[in-house]
Parts: sequence; structure tokens; C-alpha cells
Amino acid sequence: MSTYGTTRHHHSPAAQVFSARERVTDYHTTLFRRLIWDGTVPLEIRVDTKELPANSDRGLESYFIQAPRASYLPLLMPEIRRFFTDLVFDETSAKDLKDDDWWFDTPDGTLLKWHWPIGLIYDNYTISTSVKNPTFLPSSTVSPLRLMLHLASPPQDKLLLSPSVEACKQAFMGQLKEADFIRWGNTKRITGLRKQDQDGIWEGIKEHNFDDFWRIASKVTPTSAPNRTQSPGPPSSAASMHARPPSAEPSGSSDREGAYNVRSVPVRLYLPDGPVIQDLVPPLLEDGTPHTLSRYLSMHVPLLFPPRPPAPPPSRTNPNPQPPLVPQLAYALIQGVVTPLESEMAWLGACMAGADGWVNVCVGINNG
Amino acid sequence: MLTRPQFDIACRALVGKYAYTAPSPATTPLKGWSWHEHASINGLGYLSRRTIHTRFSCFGTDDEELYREEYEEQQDESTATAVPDATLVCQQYIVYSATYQVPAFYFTMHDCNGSPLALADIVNTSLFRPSAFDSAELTTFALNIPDRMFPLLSQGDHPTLGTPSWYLHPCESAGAVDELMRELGEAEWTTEEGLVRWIEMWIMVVSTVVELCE
Repeated sequence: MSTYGTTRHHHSPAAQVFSARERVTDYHTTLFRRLIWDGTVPLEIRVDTKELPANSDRGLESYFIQAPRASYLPLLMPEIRRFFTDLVFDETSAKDLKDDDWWFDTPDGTLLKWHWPIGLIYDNYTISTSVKNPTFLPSSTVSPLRLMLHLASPPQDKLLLSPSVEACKQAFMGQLKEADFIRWGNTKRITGLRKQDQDGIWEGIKEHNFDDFWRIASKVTPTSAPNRTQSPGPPSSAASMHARPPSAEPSGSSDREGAYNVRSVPVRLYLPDGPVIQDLVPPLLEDGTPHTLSRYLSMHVPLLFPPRPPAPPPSRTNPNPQPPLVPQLAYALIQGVVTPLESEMAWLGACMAGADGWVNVCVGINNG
Repeated sequence: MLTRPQFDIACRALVGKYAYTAPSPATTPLKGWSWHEHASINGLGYLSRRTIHTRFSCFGTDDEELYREEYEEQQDESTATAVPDATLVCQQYIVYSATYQVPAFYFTMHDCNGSPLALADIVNTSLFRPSAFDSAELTTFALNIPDRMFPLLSQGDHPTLGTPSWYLHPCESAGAVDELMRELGEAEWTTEEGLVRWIEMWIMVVSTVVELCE
């Protein structure tokens, strides 16, 4: 059994309020969080030969890196810069290059958003390739994402400005707060964190330190609560529960904080070269059954995920009829994993979300 | 708070209501908007309009001079291209924030060569009321008010177009609008009239920071 946040105890009044939330995270949740955290993607970075400064060593223009899915391009910059400065650029030209002017695209011209987690960039590229390249299969190939590094003149009408670590931190914290708001209708969990903890959660990302990150993140992320003993209330009443301190009901606190009690799961849907779709995603349906990925997808993209028709009535020849199969036109990729459609949205929110709290569902097209 | 369908109804009704009203200080913030849908996905519609602004001079003389904002009406695009060098073009959007379930004000600002302005320059234009950001701390990517939960102004992708934009953080606008609606009391509005009033009040709240009229 693994625990979070129980190794350090603070004695300030604020810490006492939160100590009640320092709870034991169940083994399965921890396992999936660890697997997600350890997920990496291969990147191959080369500088556009047309842009290489004079006197560069052209024999070594590619840099390979296995980047954490939870990281961001601005956080890789120091390492990338070190490689190119040491081995490719000559000293004088390296001095004139500013990281803030650096930007990436892929050989087919897709621009990389520096404020997206690297795992999302990779998955999003995977699904867009699924449309362009009919022979492409998501799970059979783990090929590096080939990136072209450009050293000047970022296209300001297509990428956010100033890809600095500070700007990245702000973008990350903004996402974290939005996810908190989506779950509970307010951002009290994040704002309730002390300044050191708010900074510490970002340090955990920057240093890619699982324990440091989850020691704080577990205070604001719901658990999957698989051993739920009582049926959780409807989502609408869950929204008002946050006002009561968790310590008011010690026995029920972990359930109250549970993934099935949130107002809505922070989910974004990415379609190949399409817009990002975001909607309220209640963890339970009106009849109290868990909301599933299958239901979510057939609601938002019914043409790609047609709802499965009901099974025919049982007959003497067929006492246990199965619903007719529908063609699998598309698949859902979450954290690089082709995700079973019967997955529950609340569980995905607790176990498969990115470090910023969001479940990014990338839809790819099946070919053949 | 507004649901997505309520937002759509309110925005379309707003466009219709002010299409033919005479421009006046009271109506210009509400005029000139047009409704756009995403080409292939439903439920991603937004309002947009284009306004013309100027930079604040460092040694301002008179407020009248500082506030030159003109409408680029669709029928006189020919004159709009002939504007002087100092002219700035602002593309304004009212989008739906799926997270906060309220409208959000997004914009981009370019000089006459099409180059986007840096944030330090944007805050010194006639788009904003002169004292709007007095207590704010400026970086290259956001405008923060100390001790506030969210930056007042930051950059983000346009929710429908996916292009980089600046936006005013929407999370506190709903409370202000609801308070104004309570002041207006229960009038005998149809659902649509009520929703238009809501979005009008929201635009009024935004215009305490953004200069939305001439």
C-alpha cells in the first residue's frame, strides 16, 4: 500500500486544515499514476539545415531524446540547447541565439504548441497521421516524432508568445486550476494550497519527480475510490459539498473527495486536425450508472462511435442474445494507450489524467 | 452562468437586436458583432468584430484625443485600408468558456503591417481604459493583479479557431452580471429577451476594463 503526503507534517493552522485531506491513495490509483508519470515519448530533433548558423558541424544535426509525457517543450530547451551548442553550433553563433525565438514543427508543417504537455503533442500527431497515412497503426509502431527546430522568427499568429519556463508554469497552473473548477465548481483546493506547495507542484513537473509532485497533487486530485460502500449522491448535490471541511465527516471524507463525486470530469476531446471539444462530463449518468468513454464518444462524435443498438429479445434458440456488433471506425487514445470504451469517465479522471488534471482523449481513425 | 445553448441563443439575438439600431455611446459596445459557427462541428459558435485603435502617446494631452476608436463597418472596407500608420486593428471575440460556463472576451491586436503587438504595447492602447491596469504587474505573457487567483489578462488558444489570442479571465464576470440582473429585477421577458439582457450586462461588465465604444 502506497501513501501520499503522510511523510511530512506541518504545524501551521493552514496545514492542519489540509492534514485531514492527506489521505491514503489506494494501490491501483497509485499504480496507474506511476505508469502514466513514467510514460515517455521518443523525439528526434534536428535543426533546419537552411537555418544552421555558419560554421556549424553538419554531421551531427539530430538529437534524440526520450521525453516524459508530463513535461513541456520549454523544459527540454536547456538540454536541447546544450547538445546543439556543444556539438553543432560554433561558439560565436550560439551566443546570438535566443531560446525564446526557438520553435518546432514537424516535417509535414504541423506547428507544436509549447504549452501542451509533450504526451498530448505526440498523441495528437499520432491521430492526425492516422488520417493521412492509411497503413498507420497506433500500437504497432513507436517511432520517434520527428521535430524540426527553427532558431528564429516564430510564427506569432500561430503560436503563443514567449515560450519561457515562467510562461509555461503559468499555463500549467492555469490548467490545474481550470481542472479544479471543472471538478468542484470552484478552485478552493488549489487556492487552499500554501505558496510553497503551489510552487512545489510545478517543481515536481520541472524535475520530473513523482513523489514531490504527487505529495501535493494528491491533495487536489480525486481518488478512484474503487471500494465505494455507498452510492454517491447525484452530481448536482456534489457541487455544494465542497463547502464543508472534509474533517466534518471523517469516515466519509475520502468518498466525498472521490472521483465519482465530482461535478464534472475534466476531459478534452481532440479530433484529427479538428478543434478541441470540451463539455461537462458528469461521472454518473442520470440513472446513477457510471458514465463511460463509449457513451461520451457516441454523444460527441456519433458518426465515428455509433451507439451500440440494444440486444434483441431472448428467444428459445438464443436465450442470451448479444447486441449486434458495430464497426470500429475509430479509436480513443489516452496517454498513448488505446483505451477500452467501457472505461468509466470518473476512473479516467483519477487514473489517466495528465499532470495538469485533464484527461485528453485523442480520436484516431481505424483504417482497413 | 449560461449553458452553451443559452449562449448561442443570446449571441444570435444580440446580433439581430443591434443590426439596425443607430450607433450611440450606449449601443456601440453591442453593435458590429457577427455570429460564426465552426465549419464542421456544432456547438462551437462565437461572436466576432473588428475595431480600430491607437496607441496611447506617452505624454497624453486630452482624453478626447487618446480615445480614437472607429468602427470598420463592412461597407467601407476601402477606407479602412487607407488608415494612417499608427492605426491598430483589434479582432474581438466573445466565446463560450466551457470551463466557467460564461462568455469570455478574447482578442488579437495587430499593427497595420499585420504584426501582433507585444503585451506591454497592448495595454497602452485605446482598447483599454487608462486606469484599468493600475495595480497590475506586467510580464511578456500575462497581466497579474497581486493576490488574484488568475491573471487578469493572459494568452491562450482561441477555443474554436485554436489560434493564439489574449483573453480576459472570465471567472469573475458571472457574479457581477448576476448581481446586475438582480438589480434589474424580474421583468416580463421572454427567455430570449432575458438571455439578451444577460449578455448585454456581461458586455457592460467587460467594458469597465475594455473600451468597447467610441
